[in-house]
Amino acid sequence: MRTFIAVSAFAALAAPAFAAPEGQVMVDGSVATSCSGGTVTGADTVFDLGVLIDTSTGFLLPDLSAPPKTLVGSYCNTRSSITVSATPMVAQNANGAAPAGFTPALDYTVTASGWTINPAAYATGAAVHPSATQVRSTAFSGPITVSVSGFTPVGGSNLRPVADPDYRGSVIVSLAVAH
Amino acid sequence: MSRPILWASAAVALASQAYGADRTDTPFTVIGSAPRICAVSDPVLTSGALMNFQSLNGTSLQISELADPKTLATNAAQATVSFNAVCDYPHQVILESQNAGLYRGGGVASAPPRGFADGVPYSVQLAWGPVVHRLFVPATTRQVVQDRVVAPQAIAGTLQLQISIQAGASNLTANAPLIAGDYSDTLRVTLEPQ
Repeated sequence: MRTFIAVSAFAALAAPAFAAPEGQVMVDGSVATSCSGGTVTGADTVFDLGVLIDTSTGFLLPDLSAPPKTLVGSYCNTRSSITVSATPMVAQNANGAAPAGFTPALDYTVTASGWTINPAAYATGAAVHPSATQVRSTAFSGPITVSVSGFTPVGGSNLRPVADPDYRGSVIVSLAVAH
Repeated sequence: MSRPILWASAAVALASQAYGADRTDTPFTVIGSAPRICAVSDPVLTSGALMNFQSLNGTSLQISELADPKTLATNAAQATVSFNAVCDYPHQVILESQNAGLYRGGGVASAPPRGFADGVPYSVQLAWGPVVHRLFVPATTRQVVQDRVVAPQAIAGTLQLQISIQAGASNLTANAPLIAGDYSDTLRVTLEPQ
């Protein structure tokens, strides 16, 4: 403390010839890029379609549907991408190839909307998936609605699903920083 | 003075990475079930395979002329009846004849006079996907007979029954004259679990 006062007094005497003494402190910080997929409303991640077939004909029901799921609390603090992928619904107890006229699998389309102008969409029966990934150029936080639709028998609509109590497919919705 | 500040900045960056991620995946599952079902539609007569049969009336197949009007011996007859059907799991087919032959009067009737026949044997050929089976009903004893045929896989398509009556067939001797009356049998096809 004593030393500081002496230096200060010297500086005052020399004022006409030198700029006022000053110190400079640079405050720096950074926030890493980050995305969070949020949580599914009700923690219900299962699209349960129930009975898949018309029990009088064995053909796939034409109006299969399940309520959409909502991801809440999703955010990305930078440019981001949303990607959906899915696997066909497959009869879990089927062994080998299905008999003529039958199929052990179903195709469908999954979409994730709300994050980007165009929903991300993935059709399990398609060879290419040009809409599976959509990019948002700005940071964003908001709900994402995930829907499944368009169920069709793998191999053609003239095929019937083989009997099986457990048809199962998986869907993944990915939120990622777009570098 | 600046060095300690820079160190502090690095510490903030490390802390941020601990709370966020570049990518997050949220998985979902899509489920459903296809119950075991078997279904059989109403029969239709297969065109081009009709001999001495009239057209199908509902589920009743009428023989045009069972006996030769001169000899009273049985006339040959053949018809193929088709059903659109499906069983989406391994199953069995039951072919059942109510009388084990075409019998006079439908129900129990008195014995015919000596030299006359009152029953007509016939056969049924089943074609159901890869399953082929022949049921012969000899008309020797009026009773319910049935064959159970295993279908080891799901089958969808046309189930065909070819009904054949041989010329001169009877439950007495070949070409025995048939006693007058209405002859009938009920043939039933059933798809059910094994």
